[in-house]
Amino acid sequence: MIADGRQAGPDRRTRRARHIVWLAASCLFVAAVAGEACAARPITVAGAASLTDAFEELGRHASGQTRVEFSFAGSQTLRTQLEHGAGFDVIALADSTPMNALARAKLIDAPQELARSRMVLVAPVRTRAVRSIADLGRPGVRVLLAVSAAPAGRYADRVLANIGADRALGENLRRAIEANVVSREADVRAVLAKVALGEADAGIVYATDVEGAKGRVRVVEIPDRLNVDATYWIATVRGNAGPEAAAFVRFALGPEGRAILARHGFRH
Amino acid sequence: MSDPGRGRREGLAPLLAASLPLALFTALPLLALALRPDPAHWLAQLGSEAARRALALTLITSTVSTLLCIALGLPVAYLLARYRFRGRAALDVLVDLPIAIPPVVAGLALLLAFGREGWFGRFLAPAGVRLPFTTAAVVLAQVTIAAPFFVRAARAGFESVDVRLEQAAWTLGAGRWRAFWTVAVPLARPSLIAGALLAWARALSEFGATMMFAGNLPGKTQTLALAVMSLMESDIDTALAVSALSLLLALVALTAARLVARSWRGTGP
Amino acid sequence: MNVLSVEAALALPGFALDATLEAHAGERMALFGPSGAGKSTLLSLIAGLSAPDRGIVTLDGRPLCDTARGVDVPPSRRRIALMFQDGALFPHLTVRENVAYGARGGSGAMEWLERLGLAALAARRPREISGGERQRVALARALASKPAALLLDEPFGALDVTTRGAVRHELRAFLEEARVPTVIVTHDPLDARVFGERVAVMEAGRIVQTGTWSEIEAAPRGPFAAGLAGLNFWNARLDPGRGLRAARVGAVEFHVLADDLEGEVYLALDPEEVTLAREAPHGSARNVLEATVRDLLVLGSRVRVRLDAGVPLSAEVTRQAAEALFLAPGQRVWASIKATAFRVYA
Repeated sequence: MIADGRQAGPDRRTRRARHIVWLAASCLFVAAVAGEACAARPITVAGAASLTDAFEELGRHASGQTRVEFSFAGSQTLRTQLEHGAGFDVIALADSTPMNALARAKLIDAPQELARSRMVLVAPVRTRAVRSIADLGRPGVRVLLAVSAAPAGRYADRVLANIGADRALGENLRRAIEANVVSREADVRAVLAKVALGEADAGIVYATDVEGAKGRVRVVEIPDRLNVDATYWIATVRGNAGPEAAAFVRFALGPEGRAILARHGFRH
Repeated sequence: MSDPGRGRREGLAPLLAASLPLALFTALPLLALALRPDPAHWLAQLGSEAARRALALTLITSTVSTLLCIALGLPVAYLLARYRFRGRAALDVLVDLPIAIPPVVAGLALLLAFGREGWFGRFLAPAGVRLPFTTAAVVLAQVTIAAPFFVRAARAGFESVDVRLEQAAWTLGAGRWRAFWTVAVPLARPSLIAGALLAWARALSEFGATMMFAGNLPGKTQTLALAVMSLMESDIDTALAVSALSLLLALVALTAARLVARSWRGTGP
Repeated sequence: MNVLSVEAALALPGFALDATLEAHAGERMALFGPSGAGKSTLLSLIAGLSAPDRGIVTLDGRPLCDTARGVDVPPSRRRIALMFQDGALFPHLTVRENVAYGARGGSGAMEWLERLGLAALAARRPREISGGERQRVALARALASKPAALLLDEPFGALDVTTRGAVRHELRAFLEEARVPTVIVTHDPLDARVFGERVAVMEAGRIVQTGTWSEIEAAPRGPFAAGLAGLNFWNARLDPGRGLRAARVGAVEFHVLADDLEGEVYLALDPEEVTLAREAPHGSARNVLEATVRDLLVLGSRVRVRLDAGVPLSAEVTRQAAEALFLAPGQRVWASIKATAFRVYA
């Protein structure tokens, strides 16, 4: 055998480190499972991503006896999950289309209008590239929209269609903006997050989303004649939901709920 | 290769039975996905613009990523397999890290490093180099996620090559470079190819990091996985067809890896 | 002139090497010693596979390694071929490709195969040929690289006893023809005898003796070499003076004949020079010691008797003598040795 101090064999220190990692992971897992088992069954509210902040506050005030848990995601994801048997008690989505589809499939009770929002442009505070809607079409401007499957993406598409139909702005601007779209993000929160990180020059999001990114994004209003109403709908899930779920819906639609939603920029 | 089970069939039946749950758990959803669209229909869907662009982009980016994984991974794998040095344990953990962190986190990290306002990104931007939302970003995201799979396999391959063979090559007048390519690489080749195919399979299926770092734009950054997400609501049939296609590609990649490994074990060194 | 000159020190966990070795032009040298003596480590230092803590290695006057001056020529440029125990042939290459690797793809490959009688195997892979053939291929590959020196590390260690002898003589014939200065590492005395024109004995990380095999047998300078020559061996302290004197080994005092020496000396004794008796003898022998039999080893018509006489002592007697003395372990006997039987040297 040729002895050579420079050649390597298995490294014992690495192995020991791996054992420690395994141990730590196991402890976390056991703690999490044990904690879960102790609690009583809460109700689960599935909410569109854009409702995150408002619903969390709603949950704190509505709780009373029952605990409320939330599942926030893009509306289309929540719809698919419910269609495939997700155990939600209440669902609130950012568009009538998926709500109506769920109602037609008799998966939910009659949807009720929860709130409305408007679309706005957001831009990173540190850049000056986008100050008006017309700037979206300037060469090199990087625009982010939500994917068309998401309500925010559909609303953004409608805003663009309105721009194309507008006499002052016109089809050329619409095409220029389309060409500047660098990505269609999975949901509206992703659009906001990447604009806040400064990776894009502008994005179209709900006015109500901006709250959470204040200080990092600038809001550029979209004129009323181009804007669209985003409507949020809420309903209890059929078969699954108990009285606590109905109570949560009543609370959200009642004066207290309205006040909380209004504080987060939603209108009625 | 020794095979402790060879010639001893007792114990096989209960083990097969015990393995059944995991096998079914994996196979059934995939089967459901594969059988859901009727074949004629989903073949037609694959002809759609969205599916074709996503497929082409996926094949190109994953292939480029795999080549990059090999180019960047070979020296790391060889280093870890052959040398002992300060910081080796840290490098070892670092290499494995992308396997353990959520791909979305890896994508976010890439954004913070190479984004317009990121550590490196801010130096790249004045030079006109922008990574996020480009096809290059797709490749970068895939390399980050897939490279550990290649490095692990390649390292195991190099470790299995008797170091004396390389030493013999040196004493015969071959420099380290020539010995590496004529002795270490050919002898580790089954592992290198298996690792490359694994990395390719992983790059094919990459979603989280790509979504975060490269975004989602048809024809430019929308790979098969992203297309499924984008098409879920608007065009569920195409989404299913694209999903089935991804499944097919994965089967091809993994089967090829096995065949390669077996054929080399049979006829090679 | 020395072709190869090595002076190296290296400390490894649990082992220290501090060796000086000189191989002369055109000679085959056997580096001989027990397992773990550091022989292979020394070879790897010469080949450049590892670096000494301190040391100088030169070949044909060219420095290959000089720690003081920061010289460390990589193994690929030392022109020293190292042949490993099992040949270390490249398993993915054919026999011809293996030899061509050493010849750097040159035309010499086929010529070497023919010279070593391997032409018929050219297209085979290493695992398709026998162990002896692998060693020949390894030698052809090493010689094809036109080395300035050749190092063989236990070249017969992987061979079974039946093929060993044949391969050993084959290799020697090729090496004689090739005229390449060669260092062969072995722990087998037969290898050392057959291959080494000169033998360097290595024990515990040091070269204890260098010389021809008969020189070493005549005056071994370490227990390993002495053991192989079948001699009793001690480090002794010799009283001053001339002629008959006392040489002390621990508490035992031997009477020996020596001139021009004093102080620390080596003492060697052929076991056949030790006579055993049941009663205290009254002969002319100068040295008479009472001893206990430890064990007996029958070697054909002779018996090797290991004794404890205050120091370990071996005697060799005929079988008849052993039977007549009723020798058995634990038995008390008298050992007598003539003063002239001792070899005394420094």
